Amino acid sequence: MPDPTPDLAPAPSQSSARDLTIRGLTVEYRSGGYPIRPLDGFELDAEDGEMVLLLGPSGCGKTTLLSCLGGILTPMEGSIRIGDTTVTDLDARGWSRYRREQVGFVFQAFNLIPSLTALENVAAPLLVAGTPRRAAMRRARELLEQVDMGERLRNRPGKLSGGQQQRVAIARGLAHDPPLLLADEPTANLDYIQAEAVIRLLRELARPGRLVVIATHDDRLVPIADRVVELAQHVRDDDAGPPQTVRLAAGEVLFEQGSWGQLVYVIEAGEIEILRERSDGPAQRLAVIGPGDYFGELGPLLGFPRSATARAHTDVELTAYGADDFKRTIRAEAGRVG
Amino acid sequence: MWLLTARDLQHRALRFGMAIFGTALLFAMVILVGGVAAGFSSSATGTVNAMNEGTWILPEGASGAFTSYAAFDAGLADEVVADDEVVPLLIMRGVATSEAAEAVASADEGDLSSAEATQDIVLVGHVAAGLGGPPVDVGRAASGLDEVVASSAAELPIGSSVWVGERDLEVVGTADGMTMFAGTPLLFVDLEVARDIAVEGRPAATALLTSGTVSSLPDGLVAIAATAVADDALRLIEDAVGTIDIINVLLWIVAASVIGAVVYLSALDRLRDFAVLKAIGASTRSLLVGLALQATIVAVVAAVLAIGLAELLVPVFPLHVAIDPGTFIRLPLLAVGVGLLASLGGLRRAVGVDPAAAFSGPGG
Repeated sequence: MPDPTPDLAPAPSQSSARDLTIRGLTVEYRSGGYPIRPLDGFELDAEDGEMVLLLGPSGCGKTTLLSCLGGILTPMEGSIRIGDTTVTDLDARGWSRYRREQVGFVFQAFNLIPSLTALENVAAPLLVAGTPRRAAMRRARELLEQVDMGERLRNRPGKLSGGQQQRVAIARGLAHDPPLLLADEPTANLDYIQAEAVIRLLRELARPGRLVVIATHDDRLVPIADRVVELAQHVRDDDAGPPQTVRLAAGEVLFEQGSWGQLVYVIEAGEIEILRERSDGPAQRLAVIGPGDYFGELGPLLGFPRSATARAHTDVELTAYGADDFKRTIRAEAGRVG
Repeated sequence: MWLLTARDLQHRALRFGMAIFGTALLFAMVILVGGVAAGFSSSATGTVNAMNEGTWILPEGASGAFTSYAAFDAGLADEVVADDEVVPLLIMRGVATSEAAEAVASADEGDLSSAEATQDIVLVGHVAAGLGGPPVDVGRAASGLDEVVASSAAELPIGSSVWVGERDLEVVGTADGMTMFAGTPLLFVDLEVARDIAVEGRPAATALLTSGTVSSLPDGLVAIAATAVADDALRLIEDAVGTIDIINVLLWIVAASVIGAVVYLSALDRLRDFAVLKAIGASTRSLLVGLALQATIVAVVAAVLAIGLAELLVPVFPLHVAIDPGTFIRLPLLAVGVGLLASLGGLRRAVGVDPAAAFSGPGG
């Protein structure tokens, strides 16, 4: 790992520690009338100066967590504390101020403003915060020189490569020297040479006085992170054990929507009711399935939480398979039919 | 925010340029169409006042001097008691025939084939050098029974012949702006000539004029002011003026739509930018100011351009276009108001942007 670049060092912190503490963070939103809960009681502790990696596939709640950390999204429950600031206690005005002073953002796909030059893009957060134009431009120039973009100050984003745009985006995130830098998929859309430069830069930025939180599904970043948080619950198939018989009485719930599970079920006798919780009323019945039908396969196979609740409609007997056993069983069935 | 606004205008210069040009054309049409309507009014008022700013005496029941042609005995003028001279006037609408301009040009070049041009006119018979006569701008006043002074709108050159009824008259002078009924030219002849053409030479009049105060009138006559005569003449073109007013309103609506559409499209294009700006701490108010500023700039630049365009186009119009100088102040102010109103849709979109959208990728 190269030595940190002195120019990019954060300003000395007045707070003794900018540690991050997240407790019981729950976010729920509606999608197509159904409640989605990407974060449910999430907890995290990270120390000042760390590079924290939020790892997981699309839809696992990485960006939702970044939005909460950035003071953009209000969680349903839980608290986020950074240094002396409890972000979740702030009002709208407090959030705006928090975003202007405490947080730097590096957005997915760079999200530079296309009409502004690289210099003006970097100066934008300072201008928004009321910094005099000359001072804002001077600071923006310094930052761009530090990320090796001093030669492209007057170029608009359309004239820059992906890696160059990402470096401008990082410089913009650092404009007001924030103690918390949030980066969303910073290596997406970059080739490996550009990605390496960006990763090195982000690594250099994480040091006492600045916490860097990166959301990504790119596990190449894992070795250089101080802390890795896997947001998707990896269900190991060998935990599932051999196929087993499960018996439920009518009305008993087998699994709930939003929960994680590694088993796929085949109905031997009786009926199962598949329900989807609605955000605006009683659960919606999707289907009632009977002997020979199987259900609950997509969550374990794709790494998603359960998308519906399964409840015994009558007394029921099921066989529960691990994902691999289930795939083997299905292939064997298909072979017999074919 | 000024920087963002200016840069976005530069970035979308072609789109904003086209919007400004289109809006400027519409505003120019607003100015010109309004000027045409104002021209109708000013021509009627100017013509009546040029003939007699004082009192007009008409038969009872006549709606006006130019709209009802009720001839009466001109001898009644002697019974009118006024502190100034009372003179008879004979007005009638008719048709004048002249050699077409192109036929005159052809004849000059040796082609003797002739063509005739016919146009509607208002014939005015007045006492020589008395009230009711025209202010001659080119040539001289008519002094004989075969001479006529024509409104310059009739486009009859001095020295040319014009036939009204059975009379062949020579144009000896022209008077600017003497029109009625949205551009119908007036031809001024001696009262005797008008009587020959209109009432078979009888000593009749359709109006009596005096610049003094009338203290007594014979039965069957009433006195009205020049302004009432002009207003009555305008009554005939009320529908035309009303139609022009409606067109004017429609033009404003189209102009507002153009500004609104371009600002709305700009807002749509910039939703991600707004989300980013909000995420980095920009207030909703500052975003609104930026968009409103764009609408204002488009409207003001279009208004200024429109004023120049209108000035260029006025001479091309065959009708008198009377542009009120106040228009040049009112138009930009109104344009700003309309521009801001029209940009409400775009402003609403900017207000509604969720800063969390800054986190979405290219597709989301």
